Amino acid sequence: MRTLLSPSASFSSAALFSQTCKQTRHFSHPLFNPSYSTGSRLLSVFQTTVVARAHFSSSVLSSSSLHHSLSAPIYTKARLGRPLATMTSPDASTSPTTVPMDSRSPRVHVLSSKVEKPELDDRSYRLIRLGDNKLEALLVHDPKTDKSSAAMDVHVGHLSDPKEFPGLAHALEHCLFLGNHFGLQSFANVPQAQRNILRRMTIKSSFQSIVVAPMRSQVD
Amino acid sequence: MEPALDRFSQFFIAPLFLADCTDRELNAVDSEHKKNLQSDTWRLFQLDKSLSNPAYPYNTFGTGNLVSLKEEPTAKGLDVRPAFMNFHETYYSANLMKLVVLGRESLDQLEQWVVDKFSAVKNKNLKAPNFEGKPITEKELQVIDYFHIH
Repeated sequence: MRTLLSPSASFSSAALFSQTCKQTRHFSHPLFNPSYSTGSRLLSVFQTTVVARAHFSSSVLSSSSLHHSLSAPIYTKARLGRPLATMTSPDASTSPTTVPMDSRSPRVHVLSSKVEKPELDDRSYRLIRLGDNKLEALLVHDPKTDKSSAAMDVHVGHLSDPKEFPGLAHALEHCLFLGNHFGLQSFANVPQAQRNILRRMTIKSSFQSIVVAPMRSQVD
Repeated sequence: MEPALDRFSQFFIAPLFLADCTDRELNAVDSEHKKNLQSDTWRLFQLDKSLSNPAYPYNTFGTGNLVSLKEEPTAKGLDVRPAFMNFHETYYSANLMKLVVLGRESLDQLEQWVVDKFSAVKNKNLKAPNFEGKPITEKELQVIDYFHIH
């Protein structure tokens, strides 16, 4: 349990995220019936991870509603081993405090490029931290995928709602598509050579929000 | 994927919260709540929350609906749009965020895009939210609640 609940727990969702397109039947969560046609598995996967953190934040909580969820993170642990962010090889020369690689601009630090992964996993991974703002990002290269995806964990949720506005954090997630005049929602209608389809998946937990925007690219 | 990432990142950099769009999203939240009302799991979840310690933020209504986000605040003379902006300004910070990007493109390409699109996300060096207190105290434990189901 402790491993999953480390500060890098966000990236355990990343690890799960990268598995979703290939494995079809795992992590189903009773809260979410997969009625969303695309990304339903993503949703349940994230839900699983989010629950793990929710439990962490309220570790004294022994109520039944969260208690039954405790098996979920254990299950994911069994499937994936350790969270991806901690999957550096023991002999990896890179460490979480690595200085920028010589050939790179100081705008990006590579935290880990050696990721321990299952033998059948043909994806490649790189964990970076942006030099400008300390944002950490996990990059996943899958040469065969026909979907591109991006997910952001903002680490705040409805437990931080102001009292006057119950549900504000959740509603803010919904505003993802209001990002700019050509927000994500209109993006699906923008004539593009690639016919991108965007779907919104929003997740909320006791204290964090994850926004997932799977994007389908045209296959060559 | 690049233009999509660009738009995705803008929400974290410069959200607009246009008034008409905000209204539409509040309606979306409202219908999501109505859907949840049909779900026993959701109802039990909210019951669990509502019966927890009122002094702890677990005791809240997290989904929101038109009543909680529009009607009641409006009655108090409050507007949701500044609240959105304030929440975004107060809690969204690059040092707390974690991003995952998956694509067919090479890692170098993905890295370049992430650096280009997301470096402008503001870092406010915030600490992760932490909530003092306990969601369940002696007052809430070993209590039997009876509900009349209509």
